[in-house]
Amino acid sequence: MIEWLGRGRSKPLGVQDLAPLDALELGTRPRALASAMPDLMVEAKNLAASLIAGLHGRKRAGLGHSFWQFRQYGASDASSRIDWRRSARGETLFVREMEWESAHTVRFSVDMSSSMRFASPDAREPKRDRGVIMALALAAMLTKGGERVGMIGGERPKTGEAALSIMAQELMRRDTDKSGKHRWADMTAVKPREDVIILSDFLFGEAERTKLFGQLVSRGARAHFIQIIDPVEEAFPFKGRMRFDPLSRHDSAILSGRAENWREPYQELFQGLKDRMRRIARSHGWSHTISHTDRPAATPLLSVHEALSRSKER
Amino acid sequence: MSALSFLAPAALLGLLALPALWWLLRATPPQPSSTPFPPLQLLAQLTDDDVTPVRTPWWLLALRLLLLALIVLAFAGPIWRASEALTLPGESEQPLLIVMESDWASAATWDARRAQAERLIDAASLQNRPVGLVAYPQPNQALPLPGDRSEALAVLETLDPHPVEQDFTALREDLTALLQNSAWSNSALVVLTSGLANEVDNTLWATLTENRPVSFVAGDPPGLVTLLDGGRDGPAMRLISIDNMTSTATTATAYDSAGRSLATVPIRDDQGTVKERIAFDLPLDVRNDIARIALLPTRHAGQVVLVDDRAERRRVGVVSGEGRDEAQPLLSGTTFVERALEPTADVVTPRSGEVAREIEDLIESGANVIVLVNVASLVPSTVERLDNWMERGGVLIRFASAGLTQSTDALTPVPLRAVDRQLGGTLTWDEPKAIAPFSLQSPFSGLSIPQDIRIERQVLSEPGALLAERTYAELTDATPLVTGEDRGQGYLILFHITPETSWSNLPLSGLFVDMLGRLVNLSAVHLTGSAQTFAPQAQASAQASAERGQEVQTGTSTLSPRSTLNAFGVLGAPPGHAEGLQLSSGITAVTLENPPGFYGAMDTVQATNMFAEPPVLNLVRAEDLQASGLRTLTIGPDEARALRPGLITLAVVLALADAIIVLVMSGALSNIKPARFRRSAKIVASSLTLLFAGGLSMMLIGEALAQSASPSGESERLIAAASTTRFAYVRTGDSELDQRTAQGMAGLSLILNQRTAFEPAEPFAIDPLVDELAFYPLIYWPMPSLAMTVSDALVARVDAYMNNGGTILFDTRDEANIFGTQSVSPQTQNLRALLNALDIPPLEPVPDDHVLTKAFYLIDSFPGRYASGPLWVEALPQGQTIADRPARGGDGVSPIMITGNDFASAWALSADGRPLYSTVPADPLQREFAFRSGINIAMYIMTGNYKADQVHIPALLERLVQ
Repeated sequence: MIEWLGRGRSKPLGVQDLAPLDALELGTRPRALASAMPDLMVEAKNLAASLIAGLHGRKRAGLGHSFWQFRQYGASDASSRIDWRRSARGETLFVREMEWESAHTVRFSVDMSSSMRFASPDAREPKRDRGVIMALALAAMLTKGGERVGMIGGERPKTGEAALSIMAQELMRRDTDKSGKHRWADMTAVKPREDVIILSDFLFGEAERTKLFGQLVSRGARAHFIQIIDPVEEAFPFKGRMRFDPLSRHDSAILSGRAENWREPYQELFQGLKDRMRRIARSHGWSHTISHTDRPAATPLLSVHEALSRSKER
Repeated sequence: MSALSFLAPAALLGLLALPALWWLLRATPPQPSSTPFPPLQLLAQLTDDDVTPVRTPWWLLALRLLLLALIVLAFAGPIWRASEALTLPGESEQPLLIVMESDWASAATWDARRAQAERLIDAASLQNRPVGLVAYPQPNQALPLPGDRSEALAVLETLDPHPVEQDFTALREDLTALLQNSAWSNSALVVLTSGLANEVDNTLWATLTENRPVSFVAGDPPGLVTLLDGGRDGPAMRLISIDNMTSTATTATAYDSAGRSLATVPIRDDQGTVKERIAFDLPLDVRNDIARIALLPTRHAGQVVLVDDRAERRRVGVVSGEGRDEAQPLLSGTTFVERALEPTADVVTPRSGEVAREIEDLIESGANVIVLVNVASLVPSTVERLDNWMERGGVLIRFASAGLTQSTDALTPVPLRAVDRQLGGTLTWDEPKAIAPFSLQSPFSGLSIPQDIRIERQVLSEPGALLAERTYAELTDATPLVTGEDRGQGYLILFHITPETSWSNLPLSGLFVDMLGRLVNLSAVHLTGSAQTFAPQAQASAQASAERGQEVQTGTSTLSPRSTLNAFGVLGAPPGHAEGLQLSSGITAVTLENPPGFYGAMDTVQATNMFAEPPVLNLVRAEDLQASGLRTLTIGPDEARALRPGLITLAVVLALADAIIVLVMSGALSNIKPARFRRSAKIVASSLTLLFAGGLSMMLIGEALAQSASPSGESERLIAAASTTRFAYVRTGDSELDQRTAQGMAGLSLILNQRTAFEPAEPFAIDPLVDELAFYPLIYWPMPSLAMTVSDALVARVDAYMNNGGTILFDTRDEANIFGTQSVSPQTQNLRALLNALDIPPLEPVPDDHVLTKAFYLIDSFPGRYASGPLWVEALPQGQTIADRPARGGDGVSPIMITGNDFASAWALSADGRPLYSTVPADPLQREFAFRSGINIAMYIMTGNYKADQVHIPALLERLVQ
């Protein structure tokens, strides 16, 4: 029986119920990103809106034009800079001095490899969609704060609503191609102290991972890893004789005689992967957030946003 | 022959395919479940400690190869230790004829016999000899031709033993004829004998063996044989042991006609010897139910005896002319008679209410005795039939009734005087009389007479020469109590009293029971002249036509088979070749066409048994045959073991094991959780429910369709008549009169609707000969002035209607026409013609205290269009007048009312409610009283004596206060 039982449901696993090879044929199911994008966009905006509303009144992220100090008027100051309201309270004239700031730049990269298209029956959406939603939602929140956002390897980051639609278009362009591989864009465009948000399952090879981290370090970027995990990948609820099919053509299937015997070693390995990611992030002062596709995206989104705020303050 | 042989060795070539199967099986491992899984690279890191079986494990492979090998072997049909060859008579190529005896005795070992025949056929086919099979006795047997094995086996399939004795003469003739056929002229014979024979035997076989090779196979003797043995202790079974061999049967069981076991007794006594006779110690009524006694285990038809109800008990029919007895059934004469007869006879009490038809039916169904209770007059055709029946031995017992003295039929042993005699009443001097001792000639002689029996009322006979000799019992003053007369072989007996307690207390005494018992025993057990007692179904239905009677007298009658025994002693549906049982020849022998069994219709079943008398049975054993110079052949039990079933079973088991292993290996079994079981159980339950509900709805729909299909015009009218209370009037055929009657009845119904709580619907016109009368509480019957034909059928229907509680209001409409006592109007003549034939109670003009006068209005006369005529109703019981009772009702409603006042004309109203016909004399008040009469009649009919009880309320209240 091609069947496994997770939480009492007996729906077969699948890339949105598809055989592995079909998953690689673009433009068919799961929905190409292009067709899914309007929905994802709406979802992302809703998510952002709810979070911004939730943030209000607690701790203003301070990404706006914040007040710095009042200073006594000097001769070199232009008279137009006098803050009359403050000056009217006393004898002396004051100048209102704002914090010097330029708009911050945040760059995104969403993993579009075929493994990201996987969704188990318990998941709310494929990992790719989760990545896109979170990227867009973050971008929406950031542009509200006046930040510049953009895709790595894409157009120059921009502010405002326009940046969102540009990002969406670029995401669509980067949708999984036949190879099923994600091409990590060149990091050279990234400037030091810029924030880079990587949304991926980080299930690609160790070598590729090391290369990516090396680039980030060398560019002096502040990276934020959002690791997207399907519940099945963590729980490994398989039993009996199982064949594990690859989602890309580069791998071959793996057969297990008694899958339940593999559960513990596998879970150790998976935990190891998460630990390694966290360790790397901490050692560089980056952030590492886990988003499970069977849970709401809001919580990890908030913590990423917080991490962004903190990194900016530094 | 070797120990192991194959029926189809070619199938063993299939074993060559095993290597190919092995390769195929190895190449296809069991299909695993599959799932896409993104973190494959992580999985790849896992060490292969639990090696994935890409290939089927060797032991599973071996299991499957074994499975296939078993199947191939099974197809080859291996036989272990095939038995040694038989030495068949004759040379090879010579046709072999197998002759089987298939009589009752062969049934005991029929399976063994069949196996022997099969082995003979096999042996013949091994020698390439044409073989044929013939059995005696066998119905509709095609003459066999020499054929091959399969043909002979097909013939063998069709052969069954039959529950008849072997007719050796016929066997010899048939066999000789068959052997003269060219196909068999040069044949060898094997005869499978049943193990029994008679004297003819040896010569028979001798003629056959003259110039032919013949071998005999001796049969096994059939064990015990049983006979039916009646006696004082009920049906019993006589056991005859043929060979003193130990019988396999251990018990004898009695069954009733529905196949229920009544009693079981062992057939051996304490010493272990087989009893000669087995009776059942049962209560009488249970014993009477015994329909079949069988030895268990039953081996053949000779070990079952069938019992019919031609026992000593006579059938007595009780016909009551008093349908109104139903009001108080326990006080009715019928009840007394039934209770008195029950110990001595089977009592049948038809309840149709139509006396004539009941009597006919009873005669048809073979009643020995008919008792008439409260039947005053009989129509001539019935009298004729009863006469005829008494000639043949029937006993007619008639009880006096109030109407008997006016009876128009001649069915009394002595002529009766027109008045009865009352003793001990208020107006009589005599004391009630006791019964005089019975004379020696009387059938009652010897019965002792209780001293407290008193007769208060009796019908008297005209004195005559014959009276003394026809008197069976008399009172102390020498007036007759019971008279009787020989009629042919039967008797006509009259009790000069009623069978209930109003005339005497005799019916309360045990003497009454004894007297009736004696009288019943006068009747013939089997009526002579015809076999009518056991009238078959077909003829019985034909006799339903008008001209029965004559036909019954002539010719023999045939009983259709009902259920018959097969040779194995099992009772079942008759075989196709069974024919009706001819009753002409007394005891009927069992033949092929008349197998032992039950014959005839439900009530008149006759049983025939395998043996009526102890059969002449000679054992024929192998040594007996050898002694008379015949060759014998011994066919031992076939010990060959066909291995195919075992192999296939083993293969199935292995296949199941393989399936389970595959499931376990793919992990499917470990996934089964209790929840899933519950769910699948739920699914099964719900689908069963669905099936059930579907079937139910189909049935309901079918029923609804069946119901919706039936009603038509006539039944719509019936439904209308049954669903609403309404009056009916008789269509006379005189259109003017009919119209007037219709208007009158409609008028009365209208007035009733206006004034009373009784709201009858529109009245129906009916033809009493055709229409169902039962729906109408009152039928208004105006007498036409034209002559009316009174047929027996009409009388019977009207009688039945009145007996069943209906009331007929006859209106002669001739009050104005009467000019003198001498002249009788045609209407009255019509009425007289009708009433003469009807069984009507004594009548009287409505007395002042009759409940009719108080049913709704207080009235003292019943005028219609004419005012002067009285209204006649059934006379109320005499002697019950109690001064302080203002109204009497009697029990029930008068079944008949007669008037001459032309009610309908007075009631007739036009569409706008105005009267149509003037009253005579023209008096509006008279019309009002006519309506009041109608209302009172209607109320009386609907409520009976309720009003009579109600008018007692003041008296009752007064008593309550005290």
